[in-house]
Amino acid sequence: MTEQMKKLEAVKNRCNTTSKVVGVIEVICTIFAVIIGSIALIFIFGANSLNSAIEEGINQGYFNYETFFNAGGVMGIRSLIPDNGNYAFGIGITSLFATLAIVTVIIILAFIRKIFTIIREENSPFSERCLKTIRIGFIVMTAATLLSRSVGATLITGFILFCIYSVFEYGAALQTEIDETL
Amino acid sequence: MGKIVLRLDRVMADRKMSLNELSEKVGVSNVNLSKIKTGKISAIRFSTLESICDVLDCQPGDILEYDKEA
Repeated sequence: MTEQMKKLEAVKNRCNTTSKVVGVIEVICTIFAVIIGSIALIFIFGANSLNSAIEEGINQGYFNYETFFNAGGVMGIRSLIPDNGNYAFGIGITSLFATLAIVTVIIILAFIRKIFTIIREENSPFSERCLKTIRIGFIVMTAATLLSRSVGATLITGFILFCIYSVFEYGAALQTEIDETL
Repeated sequence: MGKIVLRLDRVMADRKMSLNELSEKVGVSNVNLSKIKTGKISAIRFSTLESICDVLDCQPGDILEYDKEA
């Protein structure tokens, strides 16, 4: 086995490990998303019956009103939570948006896993297939930033990802040139 | 604008050499050699050209030709 082939084999192994690790994180995130999503639905649709129990807990000093709403920063939905003592609905909405945030992470992880699988299969990160996945993944990442952060942060993220994509595009052009040189 | 045309098939026919035989002697896979033969490449390394010329006992000019009309 030549030095070059050994290096290629090592890169393939690393890509394999990375895609497996990302796959495991994806499964964990999916479990969390299902649990938190279920909690969200229970709290939203059972708000009437749960509010009295929560109020009793607050009165007995187990937790306070702020406990629920500190978590409301997820995806900037704090302003959507009603401030009229409908605690359960607030928790439900917070959990629902937390679920959406986790789903976004799962989608991004799926793209990362796909990219590493393609690199392993095609022996290069500069193939047309890989470039297409990177492009869609970066668009999703920018959209996720827009949902969770400000417009300014989205512009900066979009610009940085565009720069990285340009480097990959150049790499792909060089790869094509190398592949067509015998 | 014209283009470089590969005449490997002509030289191979002159030397009565098959693609498999040439690929074995040059050390290039017959898939890649077939690409050279059909002109489906955009560049050729000097080392590959040297090997082909050595095996076929010819000059680079016998293999590469500039076609102004193409």
